[in-house]
This record gives sequence, C-alpha cells and structure tokens, in this order.
Amino acid sequence: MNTTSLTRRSALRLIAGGAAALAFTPPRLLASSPAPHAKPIPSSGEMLPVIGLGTWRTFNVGADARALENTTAVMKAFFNAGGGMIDCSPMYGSAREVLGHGFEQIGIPETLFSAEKVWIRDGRRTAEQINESLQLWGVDHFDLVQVHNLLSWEPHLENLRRLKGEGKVRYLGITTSHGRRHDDVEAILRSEDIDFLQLTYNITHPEAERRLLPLAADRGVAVIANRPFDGGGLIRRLKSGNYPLPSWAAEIDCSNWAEFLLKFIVSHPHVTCAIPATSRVEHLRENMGGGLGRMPDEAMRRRMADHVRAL
Amino acid sequence: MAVWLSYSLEDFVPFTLETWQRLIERHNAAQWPLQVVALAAGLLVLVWVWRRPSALRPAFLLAGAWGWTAWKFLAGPYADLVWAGHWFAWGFTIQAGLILAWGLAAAKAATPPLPRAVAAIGWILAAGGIVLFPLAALVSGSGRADLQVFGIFPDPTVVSTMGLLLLLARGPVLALLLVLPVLWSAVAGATAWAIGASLPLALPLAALATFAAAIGAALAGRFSAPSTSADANRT
Ligand SMILES: NC(=O)c1ccc[n+]([C@@H]2O[C@H](COP(=O)([O-])OP(=O)(O)OC[C@H]3O[C@@H](n4cnc5c(N)ncnc54)[C@H](OP(=O)(O)O)[C@@H]3O)[C@@H](O)[C@H]2O)c1
Repeated sequence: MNTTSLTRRSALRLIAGGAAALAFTPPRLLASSPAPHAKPIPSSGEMLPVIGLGTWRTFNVGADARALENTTAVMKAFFNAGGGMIDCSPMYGSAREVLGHGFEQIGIPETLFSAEKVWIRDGRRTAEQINESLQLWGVDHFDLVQVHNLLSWEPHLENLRRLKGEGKVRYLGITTSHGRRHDDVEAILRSEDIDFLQLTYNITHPEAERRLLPLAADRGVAVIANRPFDGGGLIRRLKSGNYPLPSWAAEIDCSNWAEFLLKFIVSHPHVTCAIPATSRVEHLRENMGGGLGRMPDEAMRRRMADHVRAL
Repeated sequence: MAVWLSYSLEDFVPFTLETWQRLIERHNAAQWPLQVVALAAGLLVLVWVWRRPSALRPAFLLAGAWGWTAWKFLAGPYADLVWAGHWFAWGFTIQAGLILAWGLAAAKAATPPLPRAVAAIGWILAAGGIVLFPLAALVSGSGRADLQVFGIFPDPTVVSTMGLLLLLARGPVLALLLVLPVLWSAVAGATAWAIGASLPLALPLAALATFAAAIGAALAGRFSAPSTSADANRT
C-alpha cells in the first residue's frame, strides 16, 4: 500500500476533531467491482479497506495442488473485490507459503496490505523470523508486523521499531484473541507507541467495547477485529439453523448473515477492519459485501446485537 | 476469566477436516504401493506372535514402522501443516529406539503368562491396528481419504503397537514402552475431536483399554508364579 504523509499527531487531531475522520469514505471505483468502504489508520491516515482476510486454518493446506488452486482463487476474488489486508502468522502451519504460492500466480496486488506476526519466544530472533516470513510470502517488506498473542512482546516491539526504521516493516502492533489478557493489552496500549491492536470483537463477544476500543481510539491505534464469526461457529449456526435475516436488515443493505455480522463489527467507530477467514470463494464474496453499501448507526447496531442474542 | 480456561481444542489444531482427509489421500498416493508391503509386514508380525511370542522379530518390524511413520509422514507432509510435526517425529524415533532395545534385550527372555482378558485386549488391538483400520476405510466407502495403514500412518501403528506390547512385554518395561503410544493416542483423539473427524474416541479408548490391561497383567504377574514357557501367553 502507498504511504501517505499524514503523521500520527495530525491523524490524532483528525480523530479528536470528531466523527468525520472516522466516517466511512465513499467507495473508490475499481475496474472489477465496487470497492469496499475504507477507514484511516490513525497513525498515518492511510486508508484501509474495512474487510480483510484471515488465514488461520483456511490457508494451511500444505503442498496440496488442488487446495492451492482454491486458495489462490480466494485471494484473487479478494483483491478483485477491492480487498487489502491479509493477516497471517508463523503459527499457521503452511499458510505463509500458501500465500506466497498465490502471489506467484496472481502477482502482488497494489492494494495488498500485508499483516504478518512474530511468534517466537526468543526475543532476539525477531528479524530472523520476519526474514523467513518475507521469503515465504515473496514480498520485500511487510506493511504490518504484530507480536502474536503478546509472546515476548517487549524485545519484539523493540526490534520491530528498529526494523521499521530500516523499512522492512511499516507499522507495528500486538495481537490477542478470545478476550485473553486484556489487562496486559491495556497496559501496553498506555505505555507503548504502537500502530495496531488486533483483538476479538464480534456481535456475540463485544467485551472490547468497554475499555480497549475507546482506549485504542484515544491512543491513535488502529483496531483489527479477529474471529468476526467467532471462529466460524456463529455464522454456521445462523446459516444452518434456518434463521432468516430480519427484514429490516435491508435498511443497511444486508442480504446475508455474513454481511450482517461484519457490518456490525466494522461500523464500530473505533474498529478499523475485520479479517474473516474463508477457504471458499462464495463465502469470500459474501464477506466482501460486509464492506459495501449502507452501514448501521448506533441504534441499528444495538438492534442487531439484541436480535442475534435473542436467537 | 483465567486465561487457560479460554482455550479450546480447536485453538491447537491448525487445519480443517477437509485438509486432514486430503493429507491422508495425498500421502497414500505418494506412498503407493508401500501400503501392500506394510499390510503384509503387519500380518506377518501377527503370525509370528501367534506362533511364538518372543519380542525380537516383531520388535524389528515395529521399530521400522515407527521410524518410517516418523520421517515419511510426521516430519514430512504432516509437519507442513503442524509446526510440532518435527517434535512428534523425534518422539516416534525415540519410541523406535526403545522398541529395538527392548527387542534385543528381551530376545531370549521367557514371557510370563497373561490372563485371558488381557491377552484378548492385546490381540484385538494388535489386529485392530493392522486389519481393522484399512478395513474400516474400505467398508465406509471413503477410500483413500480415510485409508490408514500400519507403518505408514501413526494411528494404526500406535494401536497395533499397544496391542503387541501387551502381548509381549511386562512390568516396568511395558510401562515405559507405553508412554509415547498413550501420549500419541491423546494427541490423535484431541485432533480428531477438534476437526470433527469420525470416531474421535477410538485412540483414547484403545489407550484406556491398554492401560487397564497393563494393570491387569501387572496384578496377575504379582499373584501367579512366573512361567518358563515361551508359549505361556497364548490364549
Ligand atoms: N491471536 C491472534 O492473533 C488471532 C487469533 C484468532 C484469529 N486471528 C486472525 O483472525 C482471522 C479470523 O479468525 P478465525 O479464522 O479464527 O475465525 P472467523 O473468521 O470468525 O471464522 C472463520 C470460519 O468461518 C467460516 N466462514 C467464513 N466466511 C463464511 C461465510 N460467508 N459463510 C459461512 N461460513 C464462513 C470459514 O469456513 P469456510 O472456509 O468454509 O468459509 C471458517 O471456518 C484468523 O484467520 C486469523 O488471521 C488472529
């Protein structure tokens, strides 16, 4: 992605200036399909499409030629629909190589926002692991590197700052999930200068709304919502349980549950993007719809949460 | 909430059922026609043990099966998917070494008699790993996506090993030789459960039966005089 010249301070000023800075931008026009809404990364002002792509499990397919063809098709559909962020980790088995294989086939799209993680206990080996990941992805830098699950976060963050200076990494961040270690995350948000926080936030797990999301906004930190479908169980339950979408979902341009669940997440003013994972092109297309059309306002968001809770 | 309480089995299994079945299918294709050789070797072990329950020859074949599974499967295509695959491969290699050492040491030792029930469990598991695993895939019609053969894949290797060890080893040696198979049974059961594979409890139950039988054998050993006959554990 192209860097903009906005500094962290000016972006923070924008945020302090009100909702305008966090409002959704009108979709850009892309050749293949309407581009999804985008939101600014607070520390730079760079715009990021609100729907990204996760890779846990879905992209860990090894050297299976048939499955590789499929993951490449998912990547292609993602970028055709204006997708940006792809999130991966050394923890995800062969997913990094699988992404590399995909990029070999389709080239490296201009809109790619590569989000890797560092996941190694030895805090001296940050650069080593990142170099390995760069090679596997087949890219020359990462847009974002996050300390996975806060593992050895102190030395890794220090090393990431150095790598940022060298241009190998553009943004740095931390991740957690399942509501784990929110106190530690809060302490890091308060004490460290980071660009991104990744955590679990979805319609059935909105706990982060209370402390972490406002704090991240306050600190000018972008938020990535992982497990948007609660690992898949939530959307599978809604789809297979024969729960029809409420008719009022049409007011926010939702025609399926994926759009409904994702719009709930990315319409939160402090969430920058969500990263649903999928191994299916048809699911990917549904998911990308979560970044298109009208978005819910606060009253609608409450209605959505109440509705799902009641099912 | 305590952090550890937030973990579930799914958090530790980084692939889907579909990927697992494709892995089995791909590995079967890559190993073909070794499955036939492995099946024949497995049957040969059963015949050897039936005719003369001594450890030496079965131990050589069993060690080979563990070693082959370790380096052709666990450190190979399995490790592409699971970062711990290499560690598991080393575990299997250690088990191969232990089995070999036991086979050499116990080559001429007499095998004390076994209670009928214990011997029956031993035979069911030994034959189950070698015959039932591939048969189940054929019967269920899932073919190569489920076809797991002794010596090529870990699960049937582990199940038949537990059975053969019950029939051939005793006392602390048996306990030592069962540690890794039992651990693998837990790993395999948890994996199958997490991805929704069929019969997730098969290996844990086999391990449990082995454990119960091993205790039965130990108790029987304590209350009965040791036999001098090598054929004494035949049911
Ligand atoms: N600590 C961390 O850093 C951390 C922790 C958790 C997750 N993450 C990141 O966040 C990403 C997302 O989380 P997740 O993968 O755990 O869970 P998720 O995105 O909530 O759910 C993924 C599951 O949902 C299914 N799915 C996706 N779209 C669907 C649709 N339209 N209809 C029906 N089913 C659909 C997928 O199956 P199909 O393949 O069949 O579509 C997959 O099984 C991860 O992939 C990872 O990149 C990071």
